[in-house]
Amino acid sequence: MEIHEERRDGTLVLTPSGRLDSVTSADLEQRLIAVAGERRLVVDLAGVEYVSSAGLRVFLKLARRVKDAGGVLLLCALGEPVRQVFDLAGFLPLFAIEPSRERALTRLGPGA
Amino acid sequence: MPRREHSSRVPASLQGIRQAEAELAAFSAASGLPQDTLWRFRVALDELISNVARHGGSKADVGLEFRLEGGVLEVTVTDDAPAFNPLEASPPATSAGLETRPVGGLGIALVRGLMDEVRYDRRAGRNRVTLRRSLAA
Repeated sequence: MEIHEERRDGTLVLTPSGRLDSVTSADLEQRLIAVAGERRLVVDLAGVEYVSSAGLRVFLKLARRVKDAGGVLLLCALGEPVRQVFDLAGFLPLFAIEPSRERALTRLGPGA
Repeated sequence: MPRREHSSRVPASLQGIRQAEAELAAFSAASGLPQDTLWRFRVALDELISNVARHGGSKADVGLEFRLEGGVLEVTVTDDAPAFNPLEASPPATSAGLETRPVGGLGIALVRGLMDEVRYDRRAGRNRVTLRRSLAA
C-alpha cells in the first residue's frame, strides 16, 4: 500500500491510498505505529477506496497510542464508503474527523 | 436485466482474498454493477474469507458463487472447515469508548450492516454464508 508522508506547519500528514483491508492493513499498521509518537498527526483518507475491519483495528490502535503519548490525531476527507464503515462500526464518535485536509490543519493551528 | 452467474474456488489466505476480489471485479465489469454495490461486497468478502482463515486454517477451501438476478446481487461464500456459524457470534460493544473498545467481532457486524440480508447454513459438509443486496440504493 502506498502511504504518502508530508510535514506541514509542524504536523505530520499521512495519506494512504487504495484499500485498507486484511491484505494491506499490516503495512499501514507498521507505518502508522512508527509515527504514533508525533505530537500532531493528520491521516488524510481521501485516496482510500474502502476500509474493512482489519483497517478499523489499525485506526483504533493508532488512536490509543497517540492519546497515550499525549498527541493529537485527526482523520480527514473520508469518502462515502469509508464514512459508512466507520458509522456502522460505531467508530465516528471515537475520532476527531474533519471534512478536508485544510480544515484539519486549520483546526490544529500553526505548530511550534 | 438478464441473469448472470459465476463460481470459483480460492484459498483461505490473503492471496485468496485478492483473487476473490479480482473475480468480483470481473463479474462486476461484465454485469455493470454500481460502485456502491461493489465496495460493499469487497469489504464483505474480505471479512468472510479472513474469518474462514482464522477459524478453519489456511488449508480451508473457499468456494464463491456470484449470482445477479432481478436487480439483486447474491454472493455465497462456502468453506470446508468445521461447522461454524459466524452470525451466532455476539455483536461487538459499539458503545464502549476508545480505551475499552474491543477490536474483535467487528467484521461480521459490518457484513450485516452492509448487506440487505445475510444467511448461514451448513450443507453437504460445508459452511455457507449467503449475502444479498439490491443494486438500487
